[in-house]
Amino acid sequence: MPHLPHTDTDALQTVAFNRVMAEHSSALKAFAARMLGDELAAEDTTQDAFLAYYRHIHEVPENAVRPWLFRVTRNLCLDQLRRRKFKLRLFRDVQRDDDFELVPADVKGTRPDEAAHTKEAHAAIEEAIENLPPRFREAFLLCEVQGLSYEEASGIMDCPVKTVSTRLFRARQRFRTAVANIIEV
Amino acid sequence: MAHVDKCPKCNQVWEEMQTTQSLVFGLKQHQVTRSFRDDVWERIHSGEGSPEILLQEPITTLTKVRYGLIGAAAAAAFLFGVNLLTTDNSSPIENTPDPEVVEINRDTLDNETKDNTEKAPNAIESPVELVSGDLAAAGHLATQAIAKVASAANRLRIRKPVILRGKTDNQQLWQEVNQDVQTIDGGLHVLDSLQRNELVRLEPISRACMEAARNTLKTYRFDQHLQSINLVRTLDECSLDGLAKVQVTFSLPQFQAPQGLLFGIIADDPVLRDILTQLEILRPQGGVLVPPPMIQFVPGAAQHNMILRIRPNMPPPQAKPKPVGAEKTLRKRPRKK
Repeated sequence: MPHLPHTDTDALQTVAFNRVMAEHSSALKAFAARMLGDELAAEDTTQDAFLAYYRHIHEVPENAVRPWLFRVTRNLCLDQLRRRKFKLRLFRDVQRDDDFELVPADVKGTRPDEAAHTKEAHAAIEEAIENLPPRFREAFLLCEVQGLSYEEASGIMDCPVKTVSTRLFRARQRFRTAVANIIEV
Repeated sequence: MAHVDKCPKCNQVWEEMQTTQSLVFGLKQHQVTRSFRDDVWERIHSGEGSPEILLQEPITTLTKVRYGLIGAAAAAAFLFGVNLLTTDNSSPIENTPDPEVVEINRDTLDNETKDNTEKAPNAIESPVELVSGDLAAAGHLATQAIAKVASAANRLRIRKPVILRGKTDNQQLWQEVNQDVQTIDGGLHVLDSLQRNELVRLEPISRACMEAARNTLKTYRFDQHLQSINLVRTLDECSLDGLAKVQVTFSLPQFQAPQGLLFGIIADDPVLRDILTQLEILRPQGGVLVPPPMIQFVPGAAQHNMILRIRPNMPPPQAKPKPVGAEKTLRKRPRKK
């Protein structure tokens, strides 16, 4: 078998890139959608992350692709949130971390076994996640929703594992309080 | 767990984790749109996000116009120079007195090919198939290539579930699969060549599909996965769906060909050519000689290169008397064995 020509390396890279996209695109989009609260923006952000990956494909070790992609997506999301901040202040009441309260009256008091299967309950859970402060939200999404380890999350969030643990603990508490206001947990 | 049972603090944390997990478990799954992968590739091919693009300063319209004029002047000078060189060339084909008919003589062709290979290091060395015709024929050629590629891609897509169900020893099936794969490869080769020479223009998305398909075909061929499940899985990744939708826009009216334009597919490097020869890959044997133009796919790697000779629109046949031997010229050459 002769050596592989240059074009073949490119072909292998294309196939590898397609596989990475197939494997991680949905998870990244879910993460971005919950970080940004906007499905369309999430799709664009996910595409941006893959463009970045394509440019750095030779620099990213194969076993670190997932955390790398999450880190880029997270940075892109935070960047977007920063840019949105001004608009948010103008057009929406931003709940402060400490006085967060969410009480939609229509679904309050529903039994958990019924509520868990209702759209309202899911919407409430999504809203509770959306209303977490960004730092807590990213820890919550990475570890609880995406199932990443504390070590991986610390690498993505660029902070010590202990900080991830603390943020996650607080995020869980806030999440539970927020959800408990809507459905009986 | 024994500690968690006894310690109220840890117990609380544990319960909180369990509750959170149960709540999060049923959350909506976010799926990317169907065109996600194509969109990413389109953005990559358009150079979006590349360091060069990011570093680019905004260019004013005046500057663009200035650059355009300079580029056009340079192109005109280059074409003029090329034209001069071509005119000086004493090749019999280039000096054909009658522009209506292109003389194709096997001996002349062999000599010409030998000359070309000596001049250009990248030129093809293996026997070539000469193809001649007018500009409109290139359009027909592209249309047929697209039709063949699309139907082969469609057949593969339909067969995919059957093959994926398990390994099959049906040799005939694998032969047909291989044939379809090679048809795609050959058809893409033709399209690529036509596009590179600005005879046809493909939509960016179609172009991306073609590139992906072609690269993937090369990959599995080199890996010798001709009869494996991976073949079908890989083909799935190469946008078979996209291939079926390939659209082509002809740019023939804008094309101002000189008296005779000679170009060949020289993308195949020696290594690839050797492998193609070993595998007896089907390659397109061009035929735009006889109207209606036809593409044929024949076995044997010897025909995998092609030279397309193109002339401007032909005048009606009765306008000028045909030289002796014209009928022979217009017939397709017999296949080499």
